[in-house]
Amino acid sequence: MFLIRLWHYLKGYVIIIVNGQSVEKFINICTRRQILLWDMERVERNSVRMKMSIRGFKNARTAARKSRCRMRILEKKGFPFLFGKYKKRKGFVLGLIVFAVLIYFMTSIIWSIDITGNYHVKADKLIEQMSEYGIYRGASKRAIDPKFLADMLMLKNRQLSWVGVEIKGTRLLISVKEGVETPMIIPLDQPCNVVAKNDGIIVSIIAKNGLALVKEGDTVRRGQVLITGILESKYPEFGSKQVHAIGEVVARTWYEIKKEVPKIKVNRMRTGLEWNKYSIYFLDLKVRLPSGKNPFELYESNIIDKAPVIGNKFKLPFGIVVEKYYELEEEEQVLDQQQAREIAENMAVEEIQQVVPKDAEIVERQLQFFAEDEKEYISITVECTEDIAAQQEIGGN
Amino acid sequence: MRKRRHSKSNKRKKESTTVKEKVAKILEIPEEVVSDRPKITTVGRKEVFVENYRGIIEFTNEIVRINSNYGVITITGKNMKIREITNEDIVIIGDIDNIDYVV
Repeated sequence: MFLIRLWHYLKGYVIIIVNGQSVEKFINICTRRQILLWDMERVERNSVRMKMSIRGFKNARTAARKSRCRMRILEKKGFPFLFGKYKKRKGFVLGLIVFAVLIYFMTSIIWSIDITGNYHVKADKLIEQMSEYGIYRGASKRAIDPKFLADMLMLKNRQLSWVGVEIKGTRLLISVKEGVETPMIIPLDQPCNVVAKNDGIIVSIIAKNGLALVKEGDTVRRGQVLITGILESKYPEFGSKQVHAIGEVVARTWYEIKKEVPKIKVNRMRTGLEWNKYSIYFLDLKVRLPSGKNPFELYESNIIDKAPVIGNKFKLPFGIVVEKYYELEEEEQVLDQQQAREIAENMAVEEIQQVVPKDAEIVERQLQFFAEDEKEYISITVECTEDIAAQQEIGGN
Repeated sequence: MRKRRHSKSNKRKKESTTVKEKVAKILEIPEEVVSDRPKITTVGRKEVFVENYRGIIEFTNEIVRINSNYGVITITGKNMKIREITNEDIVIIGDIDNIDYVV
């Protein structure tokens, strides 16, 4: 019953009053013409109230004339009448349709590609590789097969150990994990030497294959052959044999950094004044809105993207960018010796950590301050033990 | 108009099995599908379904007269309404007192 009512509502119907001597005749003509009537009720001696579909009402006119009845619409009900109001406002309906289509269209396109987790592999490179396969900003979401894309990136970039591809709304999120690049491995059946990766003093040397040329306590230079793969025979007439040298060579190495101790420190502070630069953009096209010239000499800036985002998933390709400029003020601070040394030490320690290889173990660290040309310097020396063995093809560099 | 209706009522059939009905019986088709005999179904005292009718003669809140091939069906009661009326059937609701055949 509910379904029938819903159907009637969707198709639209009218409540009419039929007035006349022989309403029954009107009803009979209507039923014979396949006009559905329902909820019929006699309200007065000569009039009957009933419901009728819109289409039926149009056909019922002649039936009324034939039966000499008069029809009067009491009420119009249903969806078509509700919608009929908007029929006249064509622009409104058109806008509604355009809006719906636009939303659908805009949200079925990749508008931004975010790549995270890459340090050494350039994001531009990945984007370029993807564009070769038809994945770029503005590409349809349906064209993207995340699995295929992940595989493709993995195959093309040896440095990547994992690639995750996710489509979130209109954004394509690519998270990569970079592995340690596998070192050049010389095949086992190919003869090679073991050479020093770094300068140092040998702590221990274990030749698993090949002949050790240096012993503990020897000072070696970078590139020096430590374990040779060429085995000379005792008897020169037998000639020599070449092997694949393998070995572990632990050596003591030193790293040193020299830095000037600063006398003054420049503190930069925001004065509190700020100035905004507005621009609107669509994709990469950026148009600056007229907002005057940057009044500050010394400033730092901050970019705020105000792109409309639907439900933090669908990022649209246009928006307003606000660049906030904060005026800065420089203040020179004269440091006393202790403060200056502290700052210099922190800077030096940070710097040396980048120089020392990751697998080296720091044994000792030495700090030294010394004066030179009326300036004070700090020198930091770290002593490490590390494996300096590296394989190299015989005759290679 | 009246004349025509009169002539129609004269043509009323006697209730006897026709050839069509016999065939239906052999083929085990439900009789009401092929026959032109009216079928009246009542549910409680509130609803009356009439199928195979020819037209309505009178419709008020107290009396509904329906023409059929085998006579006029007169339904009396109170507050009677027609819930639905199509070419094949008619659904009457209300407090029904009486269902009569008037030949």
